[in-house]
Amino acid sequence: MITEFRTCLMEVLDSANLYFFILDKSGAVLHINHYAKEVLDATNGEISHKNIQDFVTIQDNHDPISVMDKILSETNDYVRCNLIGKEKRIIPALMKVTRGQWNDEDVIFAVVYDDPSGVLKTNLRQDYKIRVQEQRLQSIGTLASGIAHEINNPITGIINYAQLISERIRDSVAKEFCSEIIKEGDRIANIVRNLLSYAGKGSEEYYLISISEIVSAALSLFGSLFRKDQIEIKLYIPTDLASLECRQLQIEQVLVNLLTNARNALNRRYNGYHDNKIIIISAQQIKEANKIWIRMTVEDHGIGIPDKIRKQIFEPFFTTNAGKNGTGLGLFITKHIVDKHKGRIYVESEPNSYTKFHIDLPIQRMNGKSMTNQ
Amino acid sequence: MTRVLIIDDEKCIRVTLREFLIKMGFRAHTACDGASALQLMEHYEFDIIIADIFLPKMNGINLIKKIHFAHPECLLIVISGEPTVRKMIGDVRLRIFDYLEKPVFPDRFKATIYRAVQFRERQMLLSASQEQRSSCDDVKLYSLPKCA
Repeated sequence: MITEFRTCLMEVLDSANLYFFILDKSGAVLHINHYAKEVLDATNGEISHKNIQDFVTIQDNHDPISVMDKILSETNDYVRCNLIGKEKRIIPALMKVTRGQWNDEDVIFAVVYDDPSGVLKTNLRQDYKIRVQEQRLQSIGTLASGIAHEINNPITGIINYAQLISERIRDSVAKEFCSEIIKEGDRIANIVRNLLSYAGKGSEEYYLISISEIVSAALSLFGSLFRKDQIEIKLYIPTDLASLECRQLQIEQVLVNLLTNARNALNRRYNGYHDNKIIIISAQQIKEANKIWIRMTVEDHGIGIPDKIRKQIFEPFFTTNAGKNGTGLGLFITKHIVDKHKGRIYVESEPNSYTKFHIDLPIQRMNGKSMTNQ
Repeated sequence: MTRVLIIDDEKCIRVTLREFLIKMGFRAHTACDGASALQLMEHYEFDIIIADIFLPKMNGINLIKKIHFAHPECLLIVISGEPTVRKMIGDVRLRIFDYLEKPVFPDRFKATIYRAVQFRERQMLLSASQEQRSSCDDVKLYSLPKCA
């Protein structure tokens, strides 16, 4: 039964329009499918002497790296690579590898797709990553909803008991302590509320929201992180700033993404406390092209962005933080949200000095027309 | 005196809200689930009922429906830690006086209760004056002076 299934699977793989390799641990090719044989000009007799490196090359930031290094790094992602076809023709492709067993041997299965115009990159790799990201947000949403329900009950108890004690005592210091308990309880409630709305439970409608409200909601998610990292936050947000017509959670997400990058940049420059370990969030109203815009700026005095990568930072999956927590999607999603709000985003930076992200958003999306949801 | 019933499975919520209500000068009773709430309602007439929507043994929405059916004059305040509760209630088209989202803060709670009490008093005055007017109308009907 298993043998039949394997034969059937091999027939499917042989006839599929993709390149399929079975490799041993050193990268030696044990099996190759028909499509790969035709395109890569590998006949049966030659396979036993070939290695995957004869067929596939990988470049990372313009430097060639060993295919086997990449395969053995146990990445679960699609890897961008080049196939070497007949007459040394270079074929852009995407490769995905998994480990398995073949004839009782530990082997590596490599599946490679043609990707001549980056279509597969967007359709497969990008969609896959974005789906994973969305699923992650959904799970956070479910979790946050459960946590909110569980936390809100004891918070009600803590706040109300503190209030009852305060009403029964005369000692002014003890009364002050009670009011602090209530205030701190309120703070927990606020964090839970923000976590809940950030996790995607909130409305997708456009509403008029004040910038300071958005900033404080985003900051409430970072409070302890910034304290732990000894990062100081400076806010310059005028009180008379016009409200912004926006999807609040999305603009909050923009700020969360920029603050995450600013935090990383500062932590990479300064290990512990430093006078210069600051993030400045400012906002101002500007008039341009007969429109009123809000310009929000997030400035950090961290490692900065080198000139050579500045053009790539908004590309999906571009990250300088790979292998840690970097998904390479933060600025891509940020730009996507800003575009949806008919705004613009741009960056100023000096390596090892500062980075400033400016986001200009029109206060009304449709020149004073109604705020209907799109 | 205004009589209020608190239905919540969380002891800290029952105890503290009951204390607030007593301090405000109302009679307050508590129940930890729907069945015991319905039992209490057989013995007392409540002006205001504060109920969590997620309760053990009986779904809060079913409980609200039962209360509406048996005591339509009673004002209902729904409390819940679940932010989507308004939508849920909206879906079943129940008449709710107000919603209190958990955590229920003392000031917001007291303000809501005072509003509910005022509303209940106006409601009672209105029904009393309607009764009075209808009895006056009856009198007028029989005592209209004859035209000259």
